[in-house]
Amino acid sequence: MANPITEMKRMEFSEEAIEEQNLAEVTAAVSENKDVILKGIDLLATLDESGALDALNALVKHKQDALENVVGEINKPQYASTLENMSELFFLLGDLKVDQISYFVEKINEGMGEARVASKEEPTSYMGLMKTLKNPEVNRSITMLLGFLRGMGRE
Amino acid sequence: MQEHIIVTINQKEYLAKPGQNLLDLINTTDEFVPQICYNESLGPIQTCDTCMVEADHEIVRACGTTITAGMNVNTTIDTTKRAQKEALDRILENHELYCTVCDYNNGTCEIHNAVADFGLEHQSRPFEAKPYEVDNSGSFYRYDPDQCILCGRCVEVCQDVQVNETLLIDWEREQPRVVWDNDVPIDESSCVSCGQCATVCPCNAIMETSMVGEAGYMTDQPPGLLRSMIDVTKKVEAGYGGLFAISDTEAAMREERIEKTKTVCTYCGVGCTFDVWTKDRKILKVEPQHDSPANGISTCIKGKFGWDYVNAEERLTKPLIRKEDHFAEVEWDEALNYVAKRFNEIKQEKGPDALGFISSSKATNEESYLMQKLSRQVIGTNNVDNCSRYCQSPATQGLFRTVGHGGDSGSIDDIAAADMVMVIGSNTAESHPVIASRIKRSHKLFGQKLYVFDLRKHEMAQRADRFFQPKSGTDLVWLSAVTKYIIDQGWESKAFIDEWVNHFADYKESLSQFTLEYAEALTGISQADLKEIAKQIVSVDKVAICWAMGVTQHQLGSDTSTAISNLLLITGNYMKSGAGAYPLRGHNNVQGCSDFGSMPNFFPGYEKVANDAVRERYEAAWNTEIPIEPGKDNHEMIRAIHDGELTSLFVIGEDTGIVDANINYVTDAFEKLDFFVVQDLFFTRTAEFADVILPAAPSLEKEGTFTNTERRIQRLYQVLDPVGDSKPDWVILKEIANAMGYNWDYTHPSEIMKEAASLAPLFAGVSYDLLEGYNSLQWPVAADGTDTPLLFVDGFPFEDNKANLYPLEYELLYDTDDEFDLHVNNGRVLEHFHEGNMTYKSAAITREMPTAFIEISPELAEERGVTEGAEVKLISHTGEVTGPVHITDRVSGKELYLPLNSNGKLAVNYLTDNRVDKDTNTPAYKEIAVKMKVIKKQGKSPLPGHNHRRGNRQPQNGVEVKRKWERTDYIFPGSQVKQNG
Repeated sequence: MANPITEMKRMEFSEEAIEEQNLAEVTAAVSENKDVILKGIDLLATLDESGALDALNALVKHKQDALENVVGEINKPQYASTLENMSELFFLLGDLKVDQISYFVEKINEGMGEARVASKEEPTSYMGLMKTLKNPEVNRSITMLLGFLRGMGRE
Repeated sequence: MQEHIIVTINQKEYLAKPGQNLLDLINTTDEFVPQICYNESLGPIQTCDTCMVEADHEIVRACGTTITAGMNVNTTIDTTKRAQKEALDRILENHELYCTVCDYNNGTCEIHNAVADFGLEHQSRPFEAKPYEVDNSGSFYRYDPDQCILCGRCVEVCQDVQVNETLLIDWEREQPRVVWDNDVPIDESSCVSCGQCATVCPCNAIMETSMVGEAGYMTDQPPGLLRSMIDVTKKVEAGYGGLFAISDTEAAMREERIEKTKTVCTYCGVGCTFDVWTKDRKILKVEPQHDSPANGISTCIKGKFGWDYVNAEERLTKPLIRKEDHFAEVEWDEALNYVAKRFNEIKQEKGPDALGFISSSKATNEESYLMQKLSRQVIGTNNVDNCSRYCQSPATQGLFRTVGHGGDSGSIDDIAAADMVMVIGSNTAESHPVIASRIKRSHKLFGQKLYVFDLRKHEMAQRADRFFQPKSGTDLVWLSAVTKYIIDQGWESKAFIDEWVNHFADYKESLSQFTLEYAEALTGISQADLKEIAKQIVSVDKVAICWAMGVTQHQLGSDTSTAISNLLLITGNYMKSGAGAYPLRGHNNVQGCSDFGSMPNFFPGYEKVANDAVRERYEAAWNTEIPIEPGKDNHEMIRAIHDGELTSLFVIGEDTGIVDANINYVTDAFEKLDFFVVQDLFFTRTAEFADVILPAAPSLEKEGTFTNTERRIQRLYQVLDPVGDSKPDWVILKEIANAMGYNWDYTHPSEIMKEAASLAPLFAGVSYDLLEGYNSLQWPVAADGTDTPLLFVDGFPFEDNKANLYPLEYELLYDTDDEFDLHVNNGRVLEHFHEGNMTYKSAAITREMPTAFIEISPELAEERGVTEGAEVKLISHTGEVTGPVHITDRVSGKELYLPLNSNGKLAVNYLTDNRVDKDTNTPAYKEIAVKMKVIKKQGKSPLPGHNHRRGNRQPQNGVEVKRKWERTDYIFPGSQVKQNG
């Protein structure tokens, strides 16, 4: 004989029991993943030593503010051309031939080194200039620059 | 041999089928053509113009071109490339690419993918916002006109697949957009929230609201900030290449936390399958697939959006045991040991037949199998049944008598392919929405004839070529009269009958009662109409008859189902595709629950308990003795409780105290039980009477298989972990058996299926390997795994391989009278399922339909002086209900309709009585006469103002792209590139 009952009593657990249960779950997880957890602790310590942990913590807590500030700021008109240039520059980089550039950069560095030690007192005369053309180093530079001008003007 | 023709694409030759769509062919090759509006489930729509190719020197839309022999196609020359680019540019004027902060950036955005695959780097013309706000009015999905590219897939699916005819594109306005009805907000439209527009939308224009702000890592931002982020994203990512690199990375990251798991819908018997997207326990969306066997890309409101019950707070999370005046939560060990002890005691004291078992049509095949095994092996009784007793047993009976298999003759595809569909006593559009859509589509587009027979003018009736309203409970009469008329005219299928059908002469003789005059007098269908029906049936090759509870839930439910099958036999409408008998099963697994043996007279696969050879097979396998006598069905169990013969009952997943007929009688029985175990997701009305309540897990939290109305066995995969300490039914059943001293060692449902397949010849070849992913099997399944999409191709499963005509008689057993002068029809509504234990857990669905109500006709309202929202009491011989009135011309005269989605004071089963189908004991739910008392003459309408029934459909044929082409500002991209040289 059973009358309908509508009352239900949920099982009540004491706070200690819940805590014990939770701790048991965590302990089991720690034990299963010992190595990973130790590595994680190491990473945290490194971050803390460098002061990055505090900064990260603050940033994550205020991520919404940070995102609004940053996005709001860089979305202002004065940054528009910078942002667009950034991506254009990115594409530009892709077009450059790096091996050739490094060759030129090497030459330019040499040239700059020479320029720094050259005497600033003595002006170069017309004849002096003509004479310098005979210097093989200067001549190589001039030839190279003429080649560059030819290439640049090509359609 | 199939004919093939040769088509050249980019100088390579390909074999193609005559009549094949060119884009379809290109997609089978390695050639690439951009495409956005084309969808393999929808076919060509021709709105996006991106699939420009050159065919025989003309630039054409590949999707709008049918191949011809020797056609020469070029997809890569400059002019086609420029035309394709022009089309993509036009799309990007309409759609802002901010993928990284878009919730649709999940690797499946078709705009993103088309632009990326094409290699488009820069937009030629800037995106332009449209002058429309986002429509956030609906509960289930939202429309963002700014992101809409006007591909029209949503319109196509709404007009021609779902055929609800709500969405259209207003091509004539300056800025075309998708509109709902006659341009009203989504919420106020005729939209039935099937969600298919969101499923087919290629981008984020129409998106499930459950996805918004949830899918992406950076999408859940306040609108202002989101706008700024979109702007920044666009500035930084100047070329699309860069944009895609970042957004693809973000999309890949989403895979880490969004799970996509295939499941089978747990509502009606259509058996829709889809992927469920989840993020932790949150259900982001339901995504049906092109390869979903029963439904393709279709869903209804419940399958697409009705899953809140899984995470409902009301879920039971621990076993409960009755203590004095309350139920107390206990640990599993205590509950299982208690159940085992009480079952054993009762078995010892009163014998095994004092215990009864009711399986659930919501649970899996494996769980049905284990329930009957528990009953037969562990307890030793055949007292096991399931909820098909409440609905479909009469249909099964009618088919057993005549054709030998109790299931749909073919597949849903066959219903769609029929020349003529007869729908009898089925509110298909609300009860089996996806099947209804297939019929509506064939009717709208392919000339299928639709004849509907029902009391109520529901949607199918409104759409039908002919709609007849026979008097309640007289379908047998007009069916037999039409059959007789066909034979009298000599129109029967003589060759078919000679070769395949027994007892023609006896049957013909038995029809003498059913003259046209007699039928007209009883049913109210005129003789001329009866003749016309007969003529129509014999004038076509393929007739499919769909029926449901309007036929079965009568005292002559089995006989009427038999009459349907007789008619089909006489006209030769078996053994071929596009024809046959289709009893539409009501629950996700009502078919499978019976198939796998939870029946008092059958083992799995419908082998009789009384058959010695069969019984011995199970006795040997289970090492036990099984009684030869069939057990009690649901109805008999309730009576046996009243008689003191049955003292223990175990009910899984069924709110019997609401859904069985005459619930006062049923709950009185529950009170008399010595021991009552209820296993459910929720604390149901039935559970209130229990001694032990066991918390079960729903379909999303377990594995197993369901069998749909097509006899199709489909696998569900576990989407979520069971809530709290709840467990899948099969696990609980196993643990009960083991607590009772058995050693069931199943570790996965596949092992249970393997055992069932080894014992039941009907499922001999069923295995989980063959059911991987979206694969399915339609029984019978031979040992080699061959299944049977179409039954009876080689004859009927009787000894002589022939079907049997079955003579019938008729007597009018039910009518209204002067005192109880109103007839109460009852059934489902689209929004809710059954008593509503699951669907009311969805706030959005409840908002669509907050309560059940009583539909009355305008004439009756006037006669009784009541207006919309009035409160009335209905009184039958057995009980009474009270509820609000909804006045509608769906019902006429003195007929009322009461949706069964109420578990309160309006529960229809307070009115029903103990009358049953004479052959199967299925309650005659549809035979209720009542009188009405008016309590309040007016009030608030129970149907919300925004309910889809108040909407205003706008039928048209698809998206009507020609209207786009006729715009003065439209230039065909192919012509444009030619003009520009």
